[in-house]
Amino acid sequence: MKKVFAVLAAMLFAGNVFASKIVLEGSTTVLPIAQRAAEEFMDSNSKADLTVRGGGSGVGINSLVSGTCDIAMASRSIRDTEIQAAASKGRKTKATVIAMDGIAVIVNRNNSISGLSKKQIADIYTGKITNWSEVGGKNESIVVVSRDSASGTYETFSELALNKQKVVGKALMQASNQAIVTTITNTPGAIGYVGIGYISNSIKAVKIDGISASNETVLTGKYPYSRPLFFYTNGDPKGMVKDFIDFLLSDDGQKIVGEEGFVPLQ
Amino acid sequence: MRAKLAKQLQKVVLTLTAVAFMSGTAFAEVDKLATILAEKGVITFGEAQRIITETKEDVKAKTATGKNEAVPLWVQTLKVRGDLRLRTQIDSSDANNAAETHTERVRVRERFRLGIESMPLEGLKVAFGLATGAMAGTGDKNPTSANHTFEAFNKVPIFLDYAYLEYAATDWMTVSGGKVRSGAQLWMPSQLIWKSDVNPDGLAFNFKKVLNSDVTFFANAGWYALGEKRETYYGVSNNATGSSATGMPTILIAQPGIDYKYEKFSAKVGVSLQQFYLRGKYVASNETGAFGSGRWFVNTSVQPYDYSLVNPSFEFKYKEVVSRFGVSLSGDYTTNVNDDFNKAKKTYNLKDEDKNGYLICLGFGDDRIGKLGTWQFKGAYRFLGKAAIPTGFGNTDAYGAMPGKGMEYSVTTGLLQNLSGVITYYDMTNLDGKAPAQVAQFDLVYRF
Repeated sequence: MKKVFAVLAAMLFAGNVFASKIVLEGSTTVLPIAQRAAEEFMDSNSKADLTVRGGGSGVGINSLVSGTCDIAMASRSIRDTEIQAAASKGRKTKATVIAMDGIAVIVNRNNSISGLSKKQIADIYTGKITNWSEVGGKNESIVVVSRDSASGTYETFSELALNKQKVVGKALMQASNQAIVTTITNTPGAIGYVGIGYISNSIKAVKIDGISASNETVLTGKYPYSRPLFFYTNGDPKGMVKDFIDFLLSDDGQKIVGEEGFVPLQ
Repeated sequence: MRAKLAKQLQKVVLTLTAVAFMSGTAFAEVDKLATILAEKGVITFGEAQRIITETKEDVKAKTATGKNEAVPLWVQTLKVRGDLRLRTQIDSSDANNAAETHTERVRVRERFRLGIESMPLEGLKVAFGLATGAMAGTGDKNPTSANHTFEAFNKVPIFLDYAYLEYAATDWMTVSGGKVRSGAQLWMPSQLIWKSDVNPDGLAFNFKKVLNSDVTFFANAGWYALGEKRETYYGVSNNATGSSATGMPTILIAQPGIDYKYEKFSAKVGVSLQQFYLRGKYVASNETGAFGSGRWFVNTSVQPYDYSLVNPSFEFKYKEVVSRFGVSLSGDYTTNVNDDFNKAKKTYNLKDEDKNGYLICLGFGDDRIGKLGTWQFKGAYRFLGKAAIPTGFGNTDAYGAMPGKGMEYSVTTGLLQNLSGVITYYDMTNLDGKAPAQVAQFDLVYRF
């Protein structure tokens, strides 16, 4: 029995077994950026061992508070209660903005509408406005196209544009940004929304309250459907965690941000 | 160059922010400053956005924690917790004797616990808890209960329930010393071996490390003291005519385990080794507590046997199987592998099964108890052999923690936020199926 205890004790105190492993957990919106960045970071750094998992911003922040992850990924700002929970465990939450998220509202390129107000968009997506003539367009039914409810883009749009109201039941739900672009391209009366990186010549991005969707208007905070994406750490990032965040903020890291349909900070 | 400048600027802005924050100036001034610098091309708009947002987050963090250099850390991290439980308990039992004695008891009881913790230094936690408890005529210091039974309007004694220091040596390991809280000694899905009221005295090491996206490794290890080392000399010590000595009775525990979560399914398993070094050692008895009189076979002050428990534990959960309700299956098995069992077996004519104990529990209901309408049901079967564990630390509500077998049922329902109602029923007999005893408990519990 004593030998068994000795072996177990040796296992338990073998701290080096766990060296340089970093866990990222949280927002499914941030997940694709973190996954690709982690892959590229590990490719160029043999000592790095990164695990990335979703679960949502709240789950990630809770894990950071309880010490089971090193970086909490969040598509929202940390709440006061979460900061207090962290403080009660002697942890200080430190935010690093790693990208901006902007959502463009798009219509068929032949649609005469070039701008809408936030209220009009909310009314269209909740089924109160059903014809383009009600917003100054021609007499044509509006075909509402949305991302499926499991997507981070849906969640963001629901929060920023609809004040968390549900999208009208008859909306065409699509599984990807590209599927939305294709639907809008092929459907004259359609309206949809996509990550700002998906704006192309095949569709038209409408102005919201007179503001065009662009990297610049998102970065200046003028565009209404935008928000920062965060990495939260316990105190200032150190060691390998800092190295990874520095990588994501570098040109190479921000290139990944852009390729994933988000707005780079550079 | 630009990044360096942005960093320097951030420091300047942070300083300005702090000044602005202290003096009550609007944060918009900082916002405006960063924006102007971006418009003039000194920094990019992305860098400006980072500065503005991260500074806001820093200020928010300081505001939320009420951080002020004048307030010491131990005040900022002060936390109060506790609960109040009102209980009506009905006991019914038949003694296995010639007189066919039957006893009925109805007791109204109260348990109040208050815990306070603080962090005077980063990573170091100090915690203590006070709790009600029974003080019988002979001085009951029962480790397994904090109940006060209503009687003659007596004032209620308050005991120190736990008091310990906890140091977070790394992100994945804590070390606690003192009278540590129940659960620090090991993870336990049931109260087969340890009742949740028992707060052991000693040193606990707790480990938790995420291995990958689904699997977390955990381990608990510890050393606990059950009494003192005692030496008695007859005559003058340096010219003694004789002496007697007993070593310190202690417990060593090690428990590695794995916690697995995948979508709605979770599984937690662990195996603990619990070594009770008791043979030939003195353990003070008390009225009804550990190793006291009336307990099967460890019934003297100097203990006759060591125990070596091998204790696998498990808990499987699946959420939202039917609507919002999930199912759970959990349990403990223990077997005493110490050679001393064979000596006791001869002395007391024990059966092989007397070295074993187990409890298996099936649950159904809400994942958590919260508002009115949330509920959980649990049904369990337990068996505890005569020499399976050193009796005295197990669940005293279940056949007085004595060897026996039978069923336990409980229904918990949420009433208000932090207020719940619990009905628990135990229906057990001794190992021969005789001397039946039932206990029904009706609880109202408020947690804060």
